[in-house]
Amino acid sequence: MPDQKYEAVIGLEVHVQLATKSKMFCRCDNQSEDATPNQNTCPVCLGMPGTLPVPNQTAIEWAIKAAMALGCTIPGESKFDRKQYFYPDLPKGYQISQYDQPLGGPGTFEFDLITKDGKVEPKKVGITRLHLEEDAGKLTHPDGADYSLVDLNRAGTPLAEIVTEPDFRSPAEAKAFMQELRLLMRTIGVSDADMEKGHLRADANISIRKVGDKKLGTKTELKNLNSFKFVEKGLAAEYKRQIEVMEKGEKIDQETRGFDEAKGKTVSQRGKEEAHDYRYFPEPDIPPLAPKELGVNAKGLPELPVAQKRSWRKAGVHSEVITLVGQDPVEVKAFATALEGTTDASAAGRFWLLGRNNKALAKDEFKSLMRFTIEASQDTTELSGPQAKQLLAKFIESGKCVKELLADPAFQPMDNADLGSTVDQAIKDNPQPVADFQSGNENADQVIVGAVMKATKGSADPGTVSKLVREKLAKR
Amino acid sequence: MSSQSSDVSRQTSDSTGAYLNRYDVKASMDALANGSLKDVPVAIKDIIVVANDYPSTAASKILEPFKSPYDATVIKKLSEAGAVITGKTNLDEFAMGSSTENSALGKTVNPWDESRVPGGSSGGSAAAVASGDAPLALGTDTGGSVRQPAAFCGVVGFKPTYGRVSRYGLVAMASSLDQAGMFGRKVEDVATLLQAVAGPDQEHDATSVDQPIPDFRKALTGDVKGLKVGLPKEYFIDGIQSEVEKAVRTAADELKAAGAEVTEVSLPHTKYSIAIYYIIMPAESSSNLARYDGIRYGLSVPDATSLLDTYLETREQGFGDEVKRRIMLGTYVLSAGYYDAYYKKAEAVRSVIRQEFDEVFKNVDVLLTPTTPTTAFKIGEKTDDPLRMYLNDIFTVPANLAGLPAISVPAGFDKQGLPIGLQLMGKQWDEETVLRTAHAYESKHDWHAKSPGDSK
Repeated sequence: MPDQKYEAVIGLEVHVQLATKSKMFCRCDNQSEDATPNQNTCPVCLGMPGTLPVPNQTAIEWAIKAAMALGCTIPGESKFDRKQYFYPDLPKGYQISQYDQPLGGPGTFEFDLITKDGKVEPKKVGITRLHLEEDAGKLTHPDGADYSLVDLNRAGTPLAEIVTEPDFRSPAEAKAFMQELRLLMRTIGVSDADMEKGHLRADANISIRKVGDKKLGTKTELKNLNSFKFVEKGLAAEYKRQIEVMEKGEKIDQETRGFDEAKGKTVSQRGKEEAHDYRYFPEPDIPPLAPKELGVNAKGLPELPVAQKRSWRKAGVHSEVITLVGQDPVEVKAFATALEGTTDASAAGRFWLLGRNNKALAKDEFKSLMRFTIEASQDTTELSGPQAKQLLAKFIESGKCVKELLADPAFQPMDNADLGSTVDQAIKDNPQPVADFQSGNENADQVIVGAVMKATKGSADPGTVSKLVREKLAKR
Repeated sequence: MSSQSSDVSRQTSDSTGAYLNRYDVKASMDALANGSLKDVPVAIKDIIVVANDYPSTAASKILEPFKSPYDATVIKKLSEAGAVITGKTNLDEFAMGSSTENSALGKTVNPWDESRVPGGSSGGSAAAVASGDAPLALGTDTGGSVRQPAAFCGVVGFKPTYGRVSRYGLVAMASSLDQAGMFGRKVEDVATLLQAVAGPDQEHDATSVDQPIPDFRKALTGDVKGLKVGLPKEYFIDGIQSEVEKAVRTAADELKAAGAEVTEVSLPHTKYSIAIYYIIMPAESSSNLARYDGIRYGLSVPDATSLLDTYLETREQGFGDEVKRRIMLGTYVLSAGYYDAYYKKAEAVRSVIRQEFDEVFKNVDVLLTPTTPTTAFKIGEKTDDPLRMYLNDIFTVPANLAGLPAISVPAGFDKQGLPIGLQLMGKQWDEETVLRTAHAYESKHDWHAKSPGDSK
């Protein structure tokens, strides 16, 4: 996919919806998922005459936490500003946001990219800023109606806006950052960070340049990339489009574009000349803030996922396991606890992977899976795949401890002498496949391996069996 | 005064047009003499929202049908103190004006001379108190909107320190300047009203400040011995009515005679006050008035054919000329390319003005100035000349820019029998000294006991 000639230069602007109990500037319930339209509103978030914003202390603290977790510098002074424009979903005619003194200043965030061949590549991303603002409401346009409907439940929900430097070199990197960001926000507990529910919303700036060039090309802005898939696909489509424009010798226009999934293309939405003058000025209703004096301490943050995943990798947990477990901080925590209970991290990863999709094991924050993983990874590293599956099934069925279950002879690893005679018997019983194999059909040995597995009721390790069958066939 | 007329009849006619909506209520002034508001009538400027069957209009067509779903914090506090609200008084639309002539919903005249303005923007509240309709009234003061009409109507008008009284429920004009203010016939009554509404409002106003609240009436000792009074020379300018200047200078002499030390001081940046006020105030106003868009409440022009049309038509029909003028000014000074030259520079000068006051207040306790350059002017005299109208606020605006407490007290009458006001400004949070000085001065005269009817 990456072009030999052009590299992508991508920066992200991400809105993270903070899961505080109340809204940013009033006491309304911030959780409106099941609310009827305009249920969670009050004179303040409706922008009634005479109302004033009182900032939510928790939202400010959480934004500072998020800024710290992203490696931002925390400034001595910060303030809110008004960003002004008219729209029916914006009750006051301005959005309270932060312009030139955000809660989080420039910093660097480092995380690990996993390449397609499983290699781990550390990636540094410059974080330009993190600021806090209020969300607008939602406008719906009923089919065929000559009116629109406004729902202001979401108006006033706290948002942390994170702006990165143009440090991503491919759509896949941008997507990986979004996934890491989701885990980070969940881990520090400031957002549910569910992209499907709009807790995490991304806009991207993208330009291309010839590999080796230092100068940035003209960028376009891609709006509303509201799933991980869209982040990657939308950027890939725009990357491709820009290459085509350049190759034709044409110029790229600075504009806002949207991703049309059905067509797999980006489409122009508005040009730069229509850009707003937001007439920012300091919000006079809210005194300036002193973020460093609010008692938010980097030491108070939990272990951050990048560091945690690195320690797992070092302990021998397979990358695939880390990627899967690392989606959800609840699972991360449970898995980390399981790792503490065992000395074989690699085996723990294997057993965890085996049971993580089982609902019975995953309930109660993975309590049962934790137990199974700890018990199984102590003594059962010799188990074959099918044996391990069987063990898991028995564990779920009986609830007995693994040690007790292992007393069943089905879980005894067969010694190679026993296995040898079983293989001999299988070769004897299957003359045709043997003949096929010897006349060059490389896959014919699978029939014999299958027969051995059947004879051992799955207790043999398929790898060992396969090796043994080949050895014996070769000797004939 | 307050002890004379118990059981005010609410049937008396509102001859000055002080009210936009006058409530039918029973009240009594008895408790006021004891510093209590129990059953005491209080008139409310109609820029302060009250949750009842009457609209809260800000004297604007755009809010003419608007009924507030909530009470302003000052209204809540008044109710808790047992006060009775007599109704909503007239004002310049959105408090933008110095004569109440900019009201879109009513006309108020000066109780001392019906051909003259009551001042503004809280002209209705000042007229209601001067005409004896209510002993007390609430107003708002952004650039002098309580003190200037108090001076024109011959009553006491007080603007506390910015942050002393909650702004929640005051329809915002300029958020960094607006402050609720009080009208009364006597300083003591104003202190009682201040006591009831002062205090932080952490739930609803982030700019209200948690400062200790003294007993304001107790500050009225009548003693000014050793008090350091400053006369800022920049407040005695050419064009000031000679009787006004004379009244203030006489007051200085009287304070001196009572044991105060009077010195001349200088506040050189005062001359920029009006210029920067007319940048900062419209900037904030243009933003605060953006919410009146015809979408959620108030006027909404029904036959608009598009969203843009709804905005344009509603605001075209709903706002008066002065409001539009300030929205345009404010939008301009905040625009890209002009922000640094206007708004930012104005804020820088504002800081200098603040520092200048801080410096002066190291040497004096209170500043004595005229409240206005002249006594009440004729209706229509300045409506065609906004600049001349703006200059009426020249002495009152600095206290708003610096957030300081300031009072206007009756200081006699001019040849035409029109009231003169003098202004006292104090340090931040030092309402006590301002009130004490005003009260000591007031107690040497009987002007506050004169009513419009007496002089004719």
